Parts: sequence; C-alpha cells; structure tokens
Amino acid sequence: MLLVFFGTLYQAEHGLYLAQKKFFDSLIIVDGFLVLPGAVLIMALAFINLSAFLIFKFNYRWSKLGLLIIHSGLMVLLLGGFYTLYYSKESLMTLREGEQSNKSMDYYQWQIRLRKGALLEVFPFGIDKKIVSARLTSSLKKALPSLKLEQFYQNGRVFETPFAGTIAKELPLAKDFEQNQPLFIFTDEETHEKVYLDNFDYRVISSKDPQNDVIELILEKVVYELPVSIKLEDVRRELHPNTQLAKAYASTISVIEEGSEIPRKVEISMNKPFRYKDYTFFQSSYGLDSDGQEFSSFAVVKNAGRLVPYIASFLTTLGLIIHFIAQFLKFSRRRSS
Amino acid sequence: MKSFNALFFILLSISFIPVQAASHKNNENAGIGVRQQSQKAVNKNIQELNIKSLKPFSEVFSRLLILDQGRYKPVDSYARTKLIQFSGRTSIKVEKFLQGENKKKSEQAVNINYRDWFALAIFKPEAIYSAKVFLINNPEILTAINVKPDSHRRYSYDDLRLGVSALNDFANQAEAKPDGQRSLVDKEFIRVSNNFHEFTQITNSLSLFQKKPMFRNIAVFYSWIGTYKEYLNAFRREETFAIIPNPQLQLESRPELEFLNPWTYFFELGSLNTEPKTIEPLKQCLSLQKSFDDLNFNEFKKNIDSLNQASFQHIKALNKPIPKLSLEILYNRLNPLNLAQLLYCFALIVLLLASIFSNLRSKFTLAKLAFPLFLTAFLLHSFAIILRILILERAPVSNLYETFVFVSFITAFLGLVLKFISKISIQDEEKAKLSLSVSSFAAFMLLLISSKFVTDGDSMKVLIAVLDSNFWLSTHVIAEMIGYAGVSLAGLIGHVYLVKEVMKSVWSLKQEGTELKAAAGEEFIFLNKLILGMIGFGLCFTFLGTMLGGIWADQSWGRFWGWDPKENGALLILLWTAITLHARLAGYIKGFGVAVFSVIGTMVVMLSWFGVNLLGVGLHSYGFTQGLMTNLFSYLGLEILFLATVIGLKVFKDRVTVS
Repeated sequence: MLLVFFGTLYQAEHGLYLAQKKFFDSLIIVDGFLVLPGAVLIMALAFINLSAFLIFKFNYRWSKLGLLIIHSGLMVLLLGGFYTLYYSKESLMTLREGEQSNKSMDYYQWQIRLRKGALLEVFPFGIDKKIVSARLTSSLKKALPSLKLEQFYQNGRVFETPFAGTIAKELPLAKDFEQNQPLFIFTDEETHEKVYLDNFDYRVISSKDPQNDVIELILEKVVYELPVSIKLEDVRRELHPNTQLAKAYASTISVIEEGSEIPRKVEISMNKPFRYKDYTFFQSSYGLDSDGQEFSSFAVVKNAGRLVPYIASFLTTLGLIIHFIAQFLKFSRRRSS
Repeated sequence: MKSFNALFFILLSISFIPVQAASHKNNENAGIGVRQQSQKAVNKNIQELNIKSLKPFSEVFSRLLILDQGRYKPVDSYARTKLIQFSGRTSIKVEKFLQGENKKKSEQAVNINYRDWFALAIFKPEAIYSAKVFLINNPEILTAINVKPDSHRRYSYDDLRLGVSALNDFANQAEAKPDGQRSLVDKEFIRVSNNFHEFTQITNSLSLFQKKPMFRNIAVFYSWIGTYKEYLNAFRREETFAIIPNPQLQLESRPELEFLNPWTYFFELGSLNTEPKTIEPLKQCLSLQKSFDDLNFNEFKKNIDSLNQASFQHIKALNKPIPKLSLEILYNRLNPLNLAQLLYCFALIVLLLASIFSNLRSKFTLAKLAFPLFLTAFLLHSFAIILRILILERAPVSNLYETFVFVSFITAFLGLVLKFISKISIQDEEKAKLSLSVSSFAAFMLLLISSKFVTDGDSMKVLIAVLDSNFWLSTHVIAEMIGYAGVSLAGLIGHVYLVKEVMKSVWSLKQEGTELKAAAGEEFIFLNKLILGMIGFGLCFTFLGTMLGGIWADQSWGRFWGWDPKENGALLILLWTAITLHARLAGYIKGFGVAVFSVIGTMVVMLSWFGVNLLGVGLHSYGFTQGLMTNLFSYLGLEILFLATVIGLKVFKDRVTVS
C-alpha cells in the first residue's frame, strides 16, 4: 500500500514512465535512505505465498469453494501481470492522411544505427539514466575512433545563434517521458570540433574511417516491423456542436496483410480498436502538422496474454459471488435456527 | 462591401426598421448612445410591464430551445446557469424595475427569479443594468478598477461599466501569463472580465431589433454596421444565445456552428443569396421582441413555438436525438436533489432527537416520523437520477458531481436494505434505526459535498471523448461507486462503534453493571457484523468495478493496468479492505480494531475518490474543481485526530482496568 501511495505521489512530480520504472517494474527501490521492495518483488512474494497457502494450509471443503476460486483467480491475475510485464510491447505509429507504413516506433527506447557500406549494426539504449552505458560508449568508440563522447543529455537541443554560433543546451526532463530527446556531443579528435547527434537537424553523423569507407551514425527511436501495412485513408474529429470540445475521434485505414495484395478498409475509433493477431491498434491522438495536414497516431500493442486478466477477473468475481452468497446463507440459516 | 450591400437589402426587405429621427451622434458611441435611445422607446410602454405581467412571458420564453456548451437545452437551464455563474444565486433583486409615473413603487426592490431576470436581460436589458449581478469575491479587483467595494460583494453592470477598460487590461495581462503562474487575483480578473463580457453579449442578443438605428441612407448604415461588427468581433462569443438553426449548415463561412445567435446569423446572411426563407428567423426574432414590447402574449407564444419548431426540425434533419426540454424544465423547477438533501437532514435530526430524548414518551411519534421522511427523500433522489438519465441519455456517473450524487443514492439504498434486514432477521427497532440514521447522514453529507462541484451552475455538461461509451461507463463506474458506498458506510458505522466504545469505557470507569454490559456487548457484536458485511460488500464491488475498468482500458487504450493514479486509488481500496478482512481472520484485530480499520478505509476511499484528481496527472483527472484540497486535508486531519483520541482513550482504559 505504501508503495502504491508513494508511487502515485512520485508520478505527479516525475511523470508516469519514471514512476513506473522506479516503483512498479522493479525489484528493489532505493531512494536515499529509504529502501522498499518493488512491486514486482511484492507480487512475486504474494504469488509464492498464495500458492504455498493453497497447497499446504488450505482447508478443502465445499463451503470454502468461493475462497478457493477467488485466490486462484488472483494467482492467474498475477501470472498475467508477469507475462505482460516481460512480453508485451507498446509502440506508436503516426501517419498523415494518405501515408502508408508497416513500422511502429517505441515510446521510450532509442537506438543508434551504424551503417558502414552495406554492413549494419544497431545499438539500442534507454535514456532513463543520466549517463551513457559503458557498452554503448565503447561500441561507438570502436565504430568511429576519431570521435570522443564529451557529453550526453537526456533531453537536449542544439540551437543556432547569430553571435555565439551553435550552442547545445540541456532541457529539464519532460514529465511525458516520451517527449525527451537525447543529445550526444562528441569532439572530433583530429579537427577539435564539436559534433552533435540528436533527433532533429543532426540525426546523422557521417565520417570516413581509415579505409576511406563512409560511416554513418543515425539516431532514432527503436522501430518495429509489423506483419501488416497500414494506410491512413481519412481521420476525423467530431466536436460537440458550437464548441471546441471533442466528442469523438475516428480514422479510416486500409489494412494490407503480408503476402496479400487487396487492401481491406477498417474503422478505428475511440473505444473501438482494430485487432490483428497479437497486435491491437488504438486511436491514440489526432492533430495537424506544420503543413496543416491532418495526422493520426495509433498505439500499437503486442500482447499475446491479453486474455489472461479477463479470465482472472471472471474467476475472482465468480468466487466473490459464491463466497458472498455462501456467507449470506450461513448467516440466515443461523438466524432461522 | 459587397456583403454589406446584401445586408442592407436584407434589412430593407425585412422592412421592420421603424424609421426614427436621430442624429449621427448616437452612432458614434454604440454602447452608450444607443442605450439612451432605447431608454426613450422603453418609456412608452413601461407602465404596463411589471413583475406580474412579465411572468407569463418569461414562463413561455423559458421553453425556447437553445444550443449551449454543446448541448440542446431549454432557455430555462441556460438562464439558471448564467445567473448562477454571474452571481452565485438563482434569484436576484431588481431595483427600479417599475419606472415612470409610479415613483413610490420604484423605490422598492423586487426579488425576481432567474427566468424573469433572463427575459428582461434579453428583451429589456435596461431594466436590469442596475441589478447587482456580478459576484466579485476579491476587493482588490474593485480597487484596481476604481469601483467602490461593497459589503454585499455583488455589483451591477452600471457599477462596473466605467471600470471596464481597466478590467480588460488587467484580464489580458493575466491571460498572457502561463496557467500555473496566475495568482488568485489574476484568475479573478479573468473570471470577472469574462462574466462582464458575456453579460454584455447576452443583453445585446436582440439589440439588432431593439436599438433602432438609422437606415435612411447607406452611409449611415455602413458606419453603424461597422461599429457593431467590430463590437461583435471584440467579444467573439458566437456561442451566446444560439437559437437560430444554421440552415442546412450551408453558411460556408461558419460550417462548425450548428446554431447561431441572431447577430451572427444576420452577419453571415450577407454571404448568402437573399431568399425569403433565410430571412424568416430574423423576422421571427423581430416579431418576438415586438410582441414583448407590446405585451402581446399570444403573438409572443406563437413566435416561440415557431422558433422551436424550426429548431426541432433542424435537429431531426441532423439525425440527433430530440432533446427532452420539458423534463429538464421539470428537473430545474423541482430541484429534487436539494429537496432530498433537506429531507435526509430532517430525518437525521429527528432520529438524533429521538435517541437523545429516548426516555420521553414523545419518542415514538418522533421516531415514526423519520422513516417517511427518509423514504420521501430516497424517492426524490431516485426520481432525480432517473430524470438525469432520461435527459442526458447516459449513465449518471460521468463527473465528480454525478458520482457524489450516485454514491449518496447507494448509501441511502443500502440504509434501507440494512434496515429491513435488521428488522426482519433481528426484529430490533433500535438497530434498524441506527442503520437508517447512519445512511441518512451519509446521503446528506455526500449530497452536500456534491453541490460544491457545480460552482459554475451547470451540472449537465457534455461528455469528453474518452468517456463516450455508455456500456462501460455504466458498468465500470457504477460498480466502482457501489463499492465506494459500501466502504464509506462501513467507515461511518465504524465511527458509531468507536464513539459508543469510548462512551462505554468512560461509563464503565465510573460504575460497573453486568446487565448493561451484556446488552452493550450484543450491540457491539451487531455493529461489528454490519461493518464486516459492508466491507465485504464494498470489496466485491470495488473489485468488480476495477476489473471492468481494466477491461475497458484494455479495449480502448490497449493495456489492462497502467498504474494510473485512479487505478492505484482503486487498488489501495482493494488492498485495504482485503487487509482488514485477512487481519480479522488471522486474529490480529477484533471488534475495536475492525472499526478503526473501517474508518481508515473511508479515508482511503476519499483519497482515491478525489485525492488523486488533486495530483492533476493521469487519465482519470477530468473535472476537478479547485479549493477542495483544503477540505480534503482538513477531513483527513480531523479523522486522524479522532482515531488518535479514541485509540488513546482505549489504551488508557485498558491500562486502568489491568492495574
């Protein structure tokens, strides 16, 4: 309880992502002097406790059927939670009207792609820590020996100023963690100039290695390939009459499956997602880009275990009902006797 | 210019403008000059209009359909909302309502209701310019704009008129700041300035037909129209008093407006070819104003009917559900929730009196009164909720206000159920009364809290996009709310238990009586059972609600659980109730402990109910009203103090008895 309480308070200040990383997806939380078990650890203990209880101590009787069902339902729920924690993937697909794609972008995970002729290497990294991991540093060093990593900002921008030239600036971390844009600053050891790598104007560093081959470093969010290709045909926003209050968002998409030629029209709206195999596409946001063209974002969730919590909640609720009725019957029987 | 020409011809073709001799001067200052002019016109028939002759007009007028805040509603609701928004009340004192010859009467101030006020605001604004309509809480505002502060905190249009340019400057300056950096004074500046402009806009809704400008030559017309166009644009409140359907939504410059107000309609017509049909609504408005001026009731009613008919046809053509205006008017007039709140309070007082004077004979008559009172309140309460469902066509739980109304309803319902269970199975009147008083207290308090959430007067707002799903909204939220009601009620009974325990311990310190003890013991066992039952009930429904919420979240956001504050809040309630039940099973806590735990349970409910909205993050943080933070914290503080006292006394007493 303490954990949930503090985790929620922390969220108000630092945003959902960090709170979730720190409090809920972790084994142990260390914050100054405070050491708390993380939610994962607690849930694991709860699971072990429950199973031990059901195996060793539970009094198997018909009158306790409700309790048995409740607690096994809860165990299924916990199992589903673990599965989702480690195997589900959430990503985002943003399309302008008329655009088509079969790729979606991770919310938080970044990668640096290294291209050397035809050879490709990918270095994934997260930005929830202030420092770059030693592995990434050494990989970068190996790829481009002439560059020395000077500075890394979790959220930074490069500005062109008329007098001071190019300036890199660190920005405060955004609460919406996905809005943070990492910035790498290198020094070229030969020319002693600064080299930037970010997700805006400096997303590519190209250089030449001793063999005079062109090497490129590209910074981007981790991209996933999907088994379907999606084309955004139309996106609509419905307002409550005479106001700017949104009543509903909806998109019409064409779905082209792998190995199939014929596009299929599908409607996605709020509370009405599109499902394909383990993937589910949700209407996530709507907007206008700088050219005034409408775009639509879909949250893409891959979760093979999404039915588990349904089963678990059904079981537990059933157990609760049975138990409540049993208790009530017992109560009234005692009264009548 | 071309469109202005068209406008001029429209005006001519409507041919309603009474040509009157006046100079250009009147047009120079549209705000004041025109007003003086209309004052003259008003004086002609002022003798006839009084509070009595106004009634039928405002009554019929309140049935006119209007589009406001994205919802079709009767003018009745609109008028009520606006008067509450401006002044915080539903009626207002109007001075100088009767002018002219009858000087003596004019000295008296009359209290008129929101309908009369609004009819005057639309048809005869001069009559209410001196009414104290603007509530300004912060005297700093008045000092800043050079208006003398008044102890009643309410000011009229005439009071503020001269300070309005200063008010605008301050409000603009405050609006330029980012939201988080505005001080309380800044917010008040913005609020007052917005209210003032909205008031001006409302009182000018039909000024097109009132102020009788000169159309003798086209040059004068241009200068006049120029002033007004600027004046209208300055406020940008096209949504105020939108009563005229946008004809087939064909006005290309304004496709997003489904209904227009007479001024906007008039200006937008300039971009259209002038057909007799499109001018019709303006003619009706003119006729409406004229029939009001002439106090011609039949004509007035006919106009309202034909305006409404056009609106209904328009809504039908758009394939939207027909608004239930008469039900809504009934809801406004009857105000069933206020009545129910009052009756719950009476029932509670009666029950308390009955228990205090339990030695007197009059107890029986008093106590018998309580149940009918409670039942009437409950019926009114259900009636209100049914009306809301019918009017809004959605589950009655879509914002904090409605959740409080609904949980209050459930606590009352649970109270009734408990009363019958204890009556049938235990056959003990006293205990039945206890559950009744506890639930009437809960229902009353919750309704009282709910009224704090409608500070702007509109309790029937449209849904935001995420909530637009009737099935999930009704199942998930309602289950959750029933759970809240159960746990809160358990906490309340816990309070009773603790208070009795303390009283008993104080009592038993003084004297020991075995018989009394036995009777009291039975009562404690009964209370303990009630608490446990309610906690179990709350746990079941909170679990069901939370799981349904998870399924809804999985359906619409793609995850079952996302550690959102409201989800965490529900989890806290679940964990706490489960801990309570398990701790009791394991023998860690007994009667006293269960009561203490149930009280803490209520605190957890309050925290997750609107405490998480305070954080202002997460997907559930819609519709939070400011200023509740202090209330929440003082509630929590009091509760902790209460628990500390009770536990302290208990520990003290145990020590005394042991030694």
